[in-house]
Amino acid sequence: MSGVVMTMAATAILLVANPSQAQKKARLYAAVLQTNNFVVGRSTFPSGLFSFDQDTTWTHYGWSKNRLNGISYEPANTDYMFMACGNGAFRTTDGGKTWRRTTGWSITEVEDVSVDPVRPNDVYIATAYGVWKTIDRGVAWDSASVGLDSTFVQTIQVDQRNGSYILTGGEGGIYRSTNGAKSWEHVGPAGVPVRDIQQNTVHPDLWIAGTKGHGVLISNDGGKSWHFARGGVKSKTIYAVATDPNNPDHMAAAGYETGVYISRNAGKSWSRYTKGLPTRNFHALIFDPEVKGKLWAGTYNYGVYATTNDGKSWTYKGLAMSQVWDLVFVSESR
Amino acid sequence: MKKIVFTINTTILLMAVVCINAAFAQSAPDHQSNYAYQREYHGRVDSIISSYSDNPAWGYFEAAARFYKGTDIDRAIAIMDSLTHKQEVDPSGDMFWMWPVIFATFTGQHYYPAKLEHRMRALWKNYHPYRGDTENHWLQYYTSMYLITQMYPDQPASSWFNGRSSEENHKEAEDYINSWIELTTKKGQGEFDSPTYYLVYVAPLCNLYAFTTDPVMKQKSKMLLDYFLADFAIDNLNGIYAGAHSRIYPRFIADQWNSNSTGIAWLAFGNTSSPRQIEQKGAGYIKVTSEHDTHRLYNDAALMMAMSGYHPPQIIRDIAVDRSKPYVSYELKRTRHRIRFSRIMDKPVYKYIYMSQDYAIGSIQGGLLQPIQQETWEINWSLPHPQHGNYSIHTIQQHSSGMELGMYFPEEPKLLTASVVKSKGNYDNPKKWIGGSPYEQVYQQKDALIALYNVKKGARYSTVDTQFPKTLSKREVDKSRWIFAQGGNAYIAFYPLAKYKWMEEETDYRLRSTQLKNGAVVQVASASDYSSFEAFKDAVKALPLKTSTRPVPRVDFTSLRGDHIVFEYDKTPELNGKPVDYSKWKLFESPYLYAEPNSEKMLMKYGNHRRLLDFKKLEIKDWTE
Repeated sequence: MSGVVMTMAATAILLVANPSQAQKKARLYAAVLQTNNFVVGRSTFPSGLFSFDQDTTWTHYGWSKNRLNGISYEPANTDYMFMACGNGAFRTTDGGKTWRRTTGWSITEVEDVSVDPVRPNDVYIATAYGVWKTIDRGVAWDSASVGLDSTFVQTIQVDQRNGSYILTGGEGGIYRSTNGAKSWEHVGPAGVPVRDIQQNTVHPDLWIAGTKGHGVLISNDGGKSWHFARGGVKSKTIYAVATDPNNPDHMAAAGYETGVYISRNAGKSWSRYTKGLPTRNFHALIFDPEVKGKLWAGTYNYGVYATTNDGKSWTYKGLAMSQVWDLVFVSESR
Repeated sequence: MKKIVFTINTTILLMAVVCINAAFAQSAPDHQSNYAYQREYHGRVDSIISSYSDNPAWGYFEAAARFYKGTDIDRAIAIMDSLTHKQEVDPSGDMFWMWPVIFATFTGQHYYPAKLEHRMRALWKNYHPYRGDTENHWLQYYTSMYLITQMYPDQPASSWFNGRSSEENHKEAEDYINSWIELTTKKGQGEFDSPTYYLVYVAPLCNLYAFTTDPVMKQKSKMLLDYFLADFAIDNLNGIYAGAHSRIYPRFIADQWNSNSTGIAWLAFGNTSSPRQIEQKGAGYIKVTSEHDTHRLYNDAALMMAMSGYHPPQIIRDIAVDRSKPYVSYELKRTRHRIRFSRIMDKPVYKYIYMSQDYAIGSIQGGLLQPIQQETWEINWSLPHPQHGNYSIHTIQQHSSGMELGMYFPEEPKLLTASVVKSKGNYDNPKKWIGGSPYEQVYQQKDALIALYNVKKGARYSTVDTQFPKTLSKREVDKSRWIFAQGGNAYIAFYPLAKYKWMEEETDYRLRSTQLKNGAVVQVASASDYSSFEAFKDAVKALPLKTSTRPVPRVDFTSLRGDHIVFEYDKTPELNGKPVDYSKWKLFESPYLYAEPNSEKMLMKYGNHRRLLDFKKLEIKDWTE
C-alpha cells in the first residue's frame, strides 16, 4: 500500500536526519491482518500492530483487528504513534499498550497517516473520502481536500524538511500542497492512479511513487515534475516503493503479481526477483536502516520475508498466512 | 453494572405520554378491524416469544425470551454465562455480536449475578468489534454503542475498547444515527429492499425502541420502524419481498419464503406462514449447519420486534395485505457510497413495481447500483400458501470486476475479487444468479418491461441468462419467438432479442444467450383477464413489436395496456412519445405511500385513513378523511 511505504520512508528519513536517533536501536513494526480469509464478523488471530522480536517471532500490541493500513510516529517521542485504520485514526501515547480512536463517525477508511516530523502536533491522514488534518495530535480533525479532483487518496507524506509541504496520492494521481494542506495542486502525469509515495532520505528532492498500471514515477525536483522509471517495472501495478537510507540509488518496488523489483541506479534499470518467495503480491517494503542493503518485504497472505543479497535469496521472517500492509522502523527512544 | 430502573412497559408508558398529541390524539381508524388485527398480532407475539423461551438452544435470543417471560431464569443466566465466556476466550462477531448481546443484556439486566455482570461489561473494554464498511454494519454498531453507553454512563475512556469515554461514544452514536435518519428520509436507503439484510435494520431499530431512555430517540426509532415496515409493505406479495433488490442471497431466490424478511411479514402483517410452519413442511428448508442456526436467524428480528413493545400500525398491515386493486409504486433509493470510479457518491436508484393480487413485477434502472448482490428486475407470482422453492423470473448479465468492487470498497481492485469470493462465493461464478452489470439497462411501464444488454467485447463474462424455475406450470416456446409461461395465476410472455439456448438445471431452466448485444421484452398479465392461456398468447403476439440489436439494442413495443414504449440502449426511454422524466421521481409514490425527496416525511394512505411521519418535527399524525 502506498501509505505503508510512505511511512517507511519517513521513518528512514528521520533516522538519518536526527543524529541522536541514528544511534538508537530501530524497531520494526508491521501492520498486519493475521488471516488470509478475512470476513467481517469472523473470528481471526490477533491482528493490528506487531513488532519484530527475532527470527520469526513478533509481539502483538493493543487491540486486535483494526484493519490497520498504515503507521506513523513522532520522532521525538516514539511512544506517540498513529495508526491508519478502517475504522478511523488511532493514537497511542504509551508505545502501543493502549489506543484511542481519535476520529468520529464521519471519518472512515483511513488508508495512510503521516506525522509532521517538525511539528508533531500536525498529523495528516489520507482516506477514501479525502485528506484530513489535525493540529492537536488528533483532538480534532478538519477536512483538507481543497483542490483534490478525486478524494480517494491512499498515501500521504509530509516533507522531512518542511511541514507545510506535503504530497498525497490516489485515484486522481499525485497532488502536492505547499501550505499545510490548505489546498492541493495536481502534479505529474494525468490519469495515473498512485498507491504509494516516498521521499529519499539522503536527497530529499528525490521522491518516488508506485502507480497502478504504470510502474514507478520519479521526481528529482521535490515532487514538482515526475517521469516514469524505465525498465521492467514499466506498466506494473506497484503498491509499495522503498529507498535505502544508506544508498539513495538503491530502490525497491513491488505490487500486484510483480515479485520484488530492485534498482541500484536510482530507477534507471530494475531487476525482478521471485525465487524463494511464496507469492508475487506485496503491500509493504522497507530497507533496514541498521543492516546495509537489507530489504524487508510484507506479502499479501504469506507474512514477512527479508533479503540481504539484493533479492537473490529470501528468508522467512514470520507472520505466516498474514496480509502485511505496512512496515515501519521506529527508533527506540523508550 | 449500573442499574437503570427501566422496563419496556415503562417505556411504552413514557411514549404514550410523549405521543399524546400525536398518534393517540388523532381520530381512530376502524376500531373493529384494528381490534382484530391487534388481537391477531398479540397472538403471534406470544407464539414467537414462547418458541424462543421453550427452545433448548443456547443463544442470546433464547436467554432474552426467558428473561422477558421471567421463566427458567437459571437456564437463561447459564446461557449468558456460557456465551460471554466463549466471547471472552475467542471473540468474534463484530457488530453481529453487538446487537444480540445488547438485546439480552438489557432484557435480563436485573437478573445477572455480579460476576457475570462484570464479565459482560469487560467485553466492551477487551473486545474490539469492527465498525464495518456497510450501512447495516454501522447501524448495528452505533445503535449498540448508543445503548451500552446509556447503561454505563460517565465511564472513562480507558474503560471502553476504542479509548473513548461513555459520553464521547454516546454522542458519536447519536450523531451517526441522526445523520443516517436524515440521509434515509431525504435521499432513500442505500441497502434498500433487501430480503437478506432487512433483518439487520429492523433488529437494531427494535433494540433502540425498546431500550433507549431518551423520549426523542424512542420517537425516532418508532417512526423508523414504521418507515421500514411501510417500505416493505408496499412491495409485499404474500410475505415475499417482491421486485428488485439491492442485495439478495441466491438461497433466498431459490427458496423465497425462507428469506430473513419473511419472519417480519409473518409477525407484522400476518400474510404468510410462520417460519416454523414453513419448516415443518419439510424438504428444501435451509440446512442448519451451526449453532447460530438459520431457524433462529430467520426469526431473531421478529422476536425482537415482538418483545420491543412496538406495535405495527394497522394502516401498514392493510397496505401490505390488500391486493384487491393493482397499483404502481415508485421509490427513490440511492447507491451505497461510491468512493471512486464515479463522480456521484450516492447515485439515485429509480425503483418501480407493479403489484397485483396474482403477481408483482419490479425493477431498477440497471447498471452497477449495488455491489455483488443486486437483482435488477424480477417477476414474482402469488401462491395460496407459502411453499419452498423459487417462484420468480429474472435476468442477469454475469458481470464481475475489481472495478465494481473498488467503487464501493477501499481495497485494491486487482485483489478484491478474490477477497470477496471468500465470503460471497458466487460473485465470480459464470453461472451466478445475482449481481449488477454496467451493460444492463431496464425500463418498466406497469407490467411491461424491457431489459437491454450491450456487453463490452472482452468482458469477463458475456452471458445473459434468464431463470425460468421448474415451479412454472407452463413454459412454451412459440414460433413467433415469444416464450410463454404461467406461474400461479400469472401469465408471462418473454421475447428474447438474441439467439439463445436452454440449459436444464436442478430446479430451473436456464435461458442462456452469449450474444453481446442482447435484451428481452417482458409482459405479464393476470390469468383472470383472459379467457385462456391461448387467448393471452394471441393477444401478446398481436402486439406491435420491433426489435433490433445493432448498432445497439433497441425495442419499439406497445404493451397489453396500450403503452407505447421506445427504448434504445444508452438513450432515455420514451413512453407514449415523451421521454421519461426521472427528475420527478418521488421518494415514495403510490396509492398508499407518498414522500417527496428531501422532505423527511412519509404519508401513508389506506381507504380514508392517513398516517404522516414527520421526521423534522418528530411527529406522527393519524387521521381519517
